[in-house]
Amino acid sequence: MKRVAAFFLLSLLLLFLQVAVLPRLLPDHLKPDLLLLVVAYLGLTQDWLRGGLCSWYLGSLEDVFAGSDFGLFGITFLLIFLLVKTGAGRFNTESPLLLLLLAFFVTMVKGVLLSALLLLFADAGRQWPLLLHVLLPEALLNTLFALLFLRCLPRRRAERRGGLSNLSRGLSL
Amino acid sequence: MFDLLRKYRTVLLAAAMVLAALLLYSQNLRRAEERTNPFERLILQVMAPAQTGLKTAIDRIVGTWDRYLWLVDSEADNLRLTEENRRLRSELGTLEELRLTNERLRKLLDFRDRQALTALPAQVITEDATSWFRTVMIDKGSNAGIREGMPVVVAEGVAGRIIRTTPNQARVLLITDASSAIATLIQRNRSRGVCRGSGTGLTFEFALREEDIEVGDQVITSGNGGVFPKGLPIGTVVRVEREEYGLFQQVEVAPAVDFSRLEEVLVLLEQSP
Repeated sequence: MKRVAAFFLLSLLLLFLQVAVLPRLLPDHLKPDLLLLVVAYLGLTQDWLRGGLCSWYLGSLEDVFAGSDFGLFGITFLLIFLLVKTGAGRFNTESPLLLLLLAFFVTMVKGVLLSALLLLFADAGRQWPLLLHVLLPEALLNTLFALLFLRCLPRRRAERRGGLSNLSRGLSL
Repeated sequence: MFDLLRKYRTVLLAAAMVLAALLLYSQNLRRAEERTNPFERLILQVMAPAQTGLKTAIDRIVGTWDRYLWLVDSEADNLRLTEENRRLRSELGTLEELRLTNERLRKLLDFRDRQALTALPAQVITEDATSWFRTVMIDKGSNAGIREGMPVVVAEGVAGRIIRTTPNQARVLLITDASSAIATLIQRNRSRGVCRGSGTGLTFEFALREEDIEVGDQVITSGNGGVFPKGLPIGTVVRVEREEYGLFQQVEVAPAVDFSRLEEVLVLLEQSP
């Protein structure tokens, strides 16, 4: 129960940073997607059911503060989690560079998925130039924040678990 | 059968979750009224105190810094403002005369003022969570009489319309969002078109090639569509491109509102009959 509450609070805190704090510090309309980084992390560490539900929840949370149709980010984040989870077994999760590359990769995938979903279900004709315009800067920004995220990973847990958590130690060396 | 289910458990689980998420999304797309669902209400209400608190804290810090610490430009500002005040006072006299003339002409033409609107001031508290969309959150909601679809304006012109409401907050879709479209017309020659958002600016669509549209023309709301009242400023034409073939010309419009400095807005609550 404590872990659920902690996850809920952490997700709200990250969302708060994303919508209220970081826009004041960063250039116009450019902001990192902190919840997406958590989804990538879940894809490497959690099982299918728990990670899938958490990713869907995080997407729905982002939906509350983004875009005009609720559910778009919910399904996008869920698909991204499934994609990362599918590929996670084929990568060396002990490499410190993995999450950084993953942050860049999932931002690109998010752009493609959002465009595809908007194209299939809504009017996406106007969205394309905007998506392309911010895709690369956002991917780079997410990579930068992934680096900060890695430095903030709890050390004690990292020592207990190995796997991805070694990224944290790897980077701090 | 159970063995088969067990074997493909992961695939089935993933497919079920994707299907559920897809159904939720498509259902929300189709919903025309009451688009704010209980989950959104809950999250917005939980986060409201933090958002308002942060805004107040930042305003206080900036206010203290500007008023009591950073006084380097104060003397120069004072001189400039005194001069500006003198100039504005003289302009005010001219404008008062123009207003009286306007009133007389309106009476002569039996012109009814159709924009007697009740406006509710609100503050922008947060921006959109992503770089892709253009929405903002304001600190007034359904408790203050705000409903979905209401127009949002600032002194310079149209800012957007309400798309979500909770008791104490509401979300505004800015006119620069790619999914925003407003029925508009060119003020000078009354050419009609639809202004769509393009992220940072606007495009004036469905303007026929033979229409006389020039750079510098003012674009205003046409009043069609039932959301925005007629005559509100949208922006200024900054580029016109007529290709050799084709039915329409391409017109770019710079918004009248500076969305990077959007802090206070007015929600137009109702129109008088």
